Amino acid sequence: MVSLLCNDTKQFVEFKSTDVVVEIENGFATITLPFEVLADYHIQSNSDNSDGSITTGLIFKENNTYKIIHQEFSLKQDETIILNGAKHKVISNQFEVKVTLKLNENTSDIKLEGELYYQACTDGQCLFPRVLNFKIK
Amino acid sequence: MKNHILKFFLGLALISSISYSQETASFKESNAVKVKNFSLKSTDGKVVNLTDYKGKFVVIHIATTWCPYCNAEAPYLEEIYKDYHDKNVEVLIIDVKEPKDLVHERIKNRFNLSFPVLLDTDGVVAASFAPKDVLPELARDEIMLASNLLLDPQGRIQFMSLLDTKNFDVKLIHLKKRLIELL
Repeated sequence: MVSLLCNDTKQFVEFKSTDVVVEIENGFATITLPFEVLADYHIQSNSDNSDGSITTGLIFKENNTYKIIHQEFSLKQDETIILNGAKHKVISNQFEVKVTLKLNENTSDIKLEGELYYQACTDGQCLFPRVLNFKIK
Repeated sequence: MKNHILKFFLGLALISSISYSQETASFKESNAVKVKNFSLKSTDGKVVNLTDYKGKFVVIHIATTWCPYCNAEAPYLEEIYKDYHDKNVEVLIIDVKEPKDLVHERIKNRFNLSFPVLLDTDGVVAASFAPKDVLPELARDEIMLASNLLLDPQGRIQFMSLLDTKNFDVKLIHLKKRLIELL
């Protein structure tokens, strides 16, 4: 179903690859993935889809050199819009996703690939869901 | 709201030299564009043609299950149907590019709608309503999401609004105002 909904013609979120932070300690790696929602757009929350909207999420490609044990969205601020009297969580501006990997023994090279799945709206339009591919090494 | 309606009508005016009154967000009746017939399946499996509604006013809302604005408007579309159905008014939702079962569950059943929800599986019908010059970088069906149209008994567009989230007209006040003017 996801593929049916996707439309990859234009992206409204940018992956800030040059600002990625990687910290490695005691066999674990914590990777901070920064994203930026384009000005004047917002995307749906990563946690609230009680009204049927599409939850923003990350899907990682499998890799033999580590296991993903945790991922967490870090938002600069909680944002809500009011729809028919009800609060509706959204994300705009910059946000980060922190991913914790448990590295296999002898792992010296970390490749992390995945997709950010999101659905954006502007002041004037709601747009088909998009998939933004990202990759770090 | 006015900005988006204006943008839409400016685009449309370039295409077909249609007159537009910004104050009423509506077409002058004599110049209104006639919508081409379409044929879509409803979530109930019936084939619905626009020509089935000849002689009636038709409110059309373009939706998807994941569109929060569409979901917010759904109860008010049902309200229009209940309040005006006996005055020769029909309501249709056209869902864009989603599977039948999902649409049936998340729109038709969720909002207990009395009117048909149609499946525009390739987005062609939704795109056919889109003004060419509004946001040309986006897909034509995409810019129509959460928009509303009002067709008169001759199948001509008498009102059209694109989504404006800052001045979101969830209760469809502008559309109802135009409908009442025409009834």
